[in-house]
Amino acid sequence: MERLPLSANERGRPRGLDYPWKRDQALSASWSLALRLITPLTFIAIWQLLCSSGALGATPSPWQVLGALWSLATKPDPYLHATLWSHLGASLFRVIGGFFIALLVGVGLGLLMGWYPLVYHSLHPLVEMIRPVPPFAWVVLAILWFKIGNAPAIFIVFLGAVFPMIINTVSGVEAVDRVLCEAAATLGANSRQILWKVVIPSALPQIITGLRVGLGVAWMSLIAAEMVGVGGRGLGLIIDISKSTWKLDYSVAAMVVIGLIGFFLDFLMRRAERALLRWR
Amino acid sequence: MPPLLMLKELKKVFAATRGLPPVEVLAGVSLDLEKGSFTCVVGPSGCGKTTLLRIVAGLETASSGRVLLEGVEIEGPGARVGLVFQEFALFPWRTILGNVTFGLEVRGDLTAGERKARAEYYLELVGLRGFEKRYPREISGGMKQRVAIARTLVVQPHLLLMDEPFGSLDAQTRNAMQEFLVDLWLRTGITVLFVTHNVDEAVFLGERVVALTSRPCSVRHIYPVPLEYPRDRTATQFVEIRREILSYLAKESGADE
Repeated sequence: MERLPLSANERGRPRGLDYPWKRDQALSASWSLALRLITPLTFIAIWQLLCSSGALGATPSPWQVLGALWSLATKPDPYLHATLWSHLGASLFRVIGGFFIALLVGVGLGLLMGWYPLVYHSLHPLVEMIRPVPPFAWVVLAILWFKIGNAPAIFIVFLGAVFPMIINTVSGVEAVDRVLCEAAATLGANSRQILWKVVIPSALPQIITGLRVGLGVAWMSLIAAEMVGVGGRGLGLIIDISKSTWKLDYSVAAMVVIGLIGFFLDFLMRRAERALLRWR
Repeated sequence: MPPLLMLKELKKVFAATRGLPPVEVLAGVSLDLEKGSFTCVVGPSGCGKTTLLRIVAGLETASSGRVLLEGVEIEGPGARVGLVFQEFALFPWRTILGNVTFGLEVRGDLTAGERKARAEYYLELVGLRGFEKRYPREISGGMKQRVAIARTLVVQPHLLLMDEPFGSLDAQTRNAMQEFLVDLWLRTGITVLFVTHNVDEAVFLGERVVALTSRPCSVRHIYPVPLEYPRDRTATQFVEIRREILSYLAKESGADE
């Protein structure tokens, strides 16, 4: 086939960078993987260089942090009473448990508030007043109510996750195209069916955004709460105890694990999002 | 036999909002539709054609007057009266097949297999077999509207309302869709009430064309279109009827200003 000459515009344009809205012209898989690895690796290299040069004082270097991770993972520290895995397991259990409770309550309330004006006006002021209070501020009450253990930590996770879920679900429901509801009604759907078969699927993209944001906030809130000993175990507790024992490398190792788990949780959410919203 | 649909002195006034005065949209519309007939409604823009359809569909209530379908008052939206929207109103998260089975799902009397079979029959009827697994964003405007028509027909409404359904389509697609609709109507014998501001379209489709006055609107004149289907837009009689309605509309719009 005869090839047409390239126009001046087409010549020399890097593929994938010129038209960001064209999804199918996105970067190739190997390119995107390379880009995704380059920045963190550069960050670690600079960090190591700065530590070796002595510019960061007693800051543990990546290499030392790796060593700390190894010893945390393999033998129980006398001050921490358990290995990294046990603390990690506790944190994960709490964040997942609290997340699912928040999902039921947050999405449920959000749907009711978005769909029924009566519910909206009854709950909106209360929700908007509790929402600005940082979940961490509830720690004392949480311990008072639930004693030390998993329960108060799950409560803190719930508080962190539930508000982004409510807010996003409400605005997702409010944005539902009324014409779609009318179309469903003229096809014979009753109002319950319209809620389940039109409102919820059309609000789903925003509901999922709420779940993602909520999970992120919940994870941060949990670590903060664990740092004041709300659960007796957890990744946050490693940071707190290492502070008192002056084991800076343990602190940073815990921070690394917290970051990796946060990344992994969000990765799972994006996977779920893509699976659920294939129609987009 | 009494008419399938009877509109008796329908009036509609939209209440005052935001300090604006109330708007009288319908000033007593009366119209009868025989079973199996094809009626087009034209009128100056903004005259309340859409409001009229929405009342018949049960999506809006009239301020006074009656809407009787088979002698029974319309009390709200339902599957007996189908409505095809200008903006298609397909469910973007459902496949083409899923859109068409929607009305059967909410009715709940058929098994999944029966629903699929019936939806496929109607997709065949609108010429869209093979597109079942596509999503609405993946098909063209004309195809979307054919899906919307199949979705409405699958619940076997007694009356099909169409609100400028081809208004957002390009000229070629629009002509093709008009031919398709005539063919579909001849094959199914369904009663159609079709609202448009396009006189050419109205004369091409309708057995009669109802001309409305400007707002507040009532029926001004009913033009019979005694032409055989499929119609020829260039036939002398076609052009004459078209000219007559157009000159009426021009006068009516002029009276507005």
